[in-house]
Amino acid sequence: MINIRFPSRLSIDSADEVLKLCKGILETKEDKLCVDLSEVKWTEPVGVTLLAGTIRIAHNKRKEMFISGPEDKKVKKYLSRIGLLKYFGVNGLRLQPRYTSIELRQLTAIDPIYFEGIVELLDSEMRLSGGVKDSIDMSLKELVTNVFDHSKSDVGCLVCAQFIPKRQIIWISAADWGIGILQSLRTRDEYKNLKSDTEAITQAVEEGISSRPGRAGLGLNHIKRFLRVNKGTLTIISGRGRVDFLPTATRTQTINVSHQGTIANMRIHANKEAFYYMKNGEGKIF
Amino acid sequence: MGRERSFECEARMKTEGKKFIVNIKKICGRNVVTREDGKKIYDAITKRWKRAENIIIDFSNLSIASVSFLDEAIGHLVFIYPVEQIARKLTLNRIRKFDRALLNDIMFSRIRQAKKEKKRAA
Repeated sequence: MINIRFPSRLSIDSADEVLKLCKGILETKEDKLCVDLSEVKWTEPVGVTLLAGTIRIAHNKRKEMFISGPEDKKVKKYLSRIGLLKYFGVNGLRLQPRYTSIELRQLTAIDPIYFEGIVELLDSEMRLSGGVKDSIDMSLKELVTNVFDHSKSDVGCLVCAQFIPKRQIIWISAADWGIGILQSLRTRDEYKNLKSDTEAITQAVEEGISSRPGRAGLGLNHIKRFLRVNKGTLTIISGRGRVDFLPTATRTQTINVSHQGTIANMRIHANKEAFYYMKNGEGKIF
Repeated sequence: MGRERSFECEARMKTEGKKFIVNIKKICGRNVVTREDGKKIYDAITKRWKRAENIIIDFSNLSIASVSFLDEAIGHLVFIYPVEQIARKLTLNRIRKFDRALLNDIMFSRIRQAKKEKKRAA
């Protein structure tokens, strides 16, 4: 059995390192593996979705998985609460519900009731400013719809979220292990010349760009615009590409490890503006 | 007196032309997220387009908040009918403020795209 030790931070900032370890789990010929979280001191939803998806695929490959839980009590509680330990088949701590995290879910189809539940919970626990509630609802739906429309992911879509009422911050992560954005866009003639994953990600958030036949491709553009106005961040990792859509800039980078599929991570301010639409004064039709 | 009023009513109905109601809740239930869901509404609208002078789309105060759904259901009409005709013929009933704003935004995206496509074709 080999031991895969994860770093102290499972966050969007350490995504490169986490992806490398996840890839190692999936590519090793070893049948027995131990996911060692003993040194983890901080984790975000993106770390949870990445781990959960990797474990699910490893199970599908008939690998025997073990877990060495985190020593840090806060992290252990968090991972229990968010459902990761249960997902691993490990009995987590018995906890009273504390609603600052939204349990990890593997979606195999669009589930409107699940989206409603998340948004209602966030609204009841945080003071969401005008439009934030609906914009989060829209963003969740578009992210998950994209997975089922384009990714061809065998494990569906893994979603979880976390929020910190004191700081008025919400993180939402959705990940799939499908074909990735570049391959998906290249299925259409007009995007056959796309050269890199970062180029494909940057294109995919533009208005009207989609791999779907017919006219589609507005969803990611709306999410990006919402988060710009909200001063939040949208990070998309696909293949070797990583693009951070920041409030005033876009940062692209090529990462060392390729993620087979797509990860989207949103950082949202609960108390900031969300009225991103109709900003260009085009008027109304209805 | 009552009879006179009913004749008046009938006449007004004739001159106003036919009205149709497309009830989203009845057609889609709670499934108002995907493009496939939206296509059902699009089909219901286009099926009645020629005969109707007014098509009332009843949103029943449902929270839609889906770009895919609204785009497929109504945004795509821009590619087959003139915008003025769409604005005149469609009435949106019991629609939430956010969804109305989202739909207006989508409509302008599609108008831009339709113009581009026309230019390219020319």
